[in-house]
Amino acid sequence: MESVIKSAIVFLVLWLVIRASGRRTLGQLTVFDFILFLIIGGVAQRALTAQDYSLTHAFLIIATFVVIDVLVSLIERDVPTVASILKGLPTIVVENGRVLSGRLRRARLTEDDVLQAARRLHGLETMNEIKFAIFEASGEISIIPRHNVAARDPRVAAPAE
Amino acid sequence: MREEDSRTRPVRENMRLQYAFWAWERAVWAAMAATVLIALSGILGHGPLSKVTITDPGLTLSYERFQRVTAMTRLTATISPSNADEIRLTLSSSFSDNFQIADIEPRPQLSSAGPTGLELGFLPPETGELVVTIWAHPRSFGMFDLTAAAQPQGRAAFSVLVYP
Repeated sequence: MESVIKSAIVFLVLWLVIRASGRRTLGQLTVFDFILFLIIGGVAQRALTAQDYSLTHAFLIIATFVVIDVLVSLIERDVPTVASILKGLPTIVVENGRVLSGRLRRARLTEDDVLQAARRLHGLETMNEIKFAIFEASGEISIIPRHNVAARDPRVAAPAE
Repeated sequence: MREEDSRTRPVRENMRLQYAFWAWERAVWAAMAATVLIALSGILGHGPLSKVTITDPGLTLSYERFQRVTAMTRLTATISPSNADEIRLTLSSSFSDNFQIADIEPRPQLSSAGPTGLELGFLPPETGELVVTIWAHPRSFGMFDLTAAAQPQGRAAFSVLVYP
């Protein structure tokens, strides 16, 4: 019983910590973030297994995590409000070339992050060429270019004559 | 349209929820920073606020009042010299029930466990006080009331809080 309770507590704490670390960390995993997650995983594993390395105990912990994960996904599927809270919502950070600086600051993003995504995804050079930049729930930045810019993009197929 | 307002295109936003989330996120950061500061003070074990020394005529006991389950901890008993052939240190049964002893320095001449607890016998040192160091780890978490008694004299009652 103790293993199940411990696993549930660790699941909750890990979820809180990772969620509170922000979408920025999830979407743009730096080498340091990667090492940090490895350390968090190692610490959690040691706390969970303690001195019981038996196969039964390992299976019990895995089963508890899978059950909680499935339960959370079922709740997310059926209750959209809960899904919004658990997964997060997309947030527009650039609108018609205008940077929504308050949102950008709260999301711990910089204009350079947005421009980098714009360059990488659409070859855009300036903020003015961006119609919308959206900070997705996954932590990635999506870019919607202005129409005239999209038409100039050689990677966008020209309409058939 | 103001920055705080929710847009519906190209994605449906809920900025009220988003601002609440950002506030919650910062509250969690503050709580984590507070946890680190609390840990540095020793309230979560192994720090200045955790170390305690209690003195009774004949016995001085140093221990950590905040401990963590399975983490090694040190209990030091300083027993005044006497003319007796043997010095005894008795730890209450709640100690032997809830702590696993890893090492005792110096090695006791005799040790026995009974209803009164764990009894350890040592040869008196040639000069000065006898300093007994017990390394142990708590087996379970909770609040434990413990006693240590020395013969010929000295008795100390103390409590430790063991975190999960």
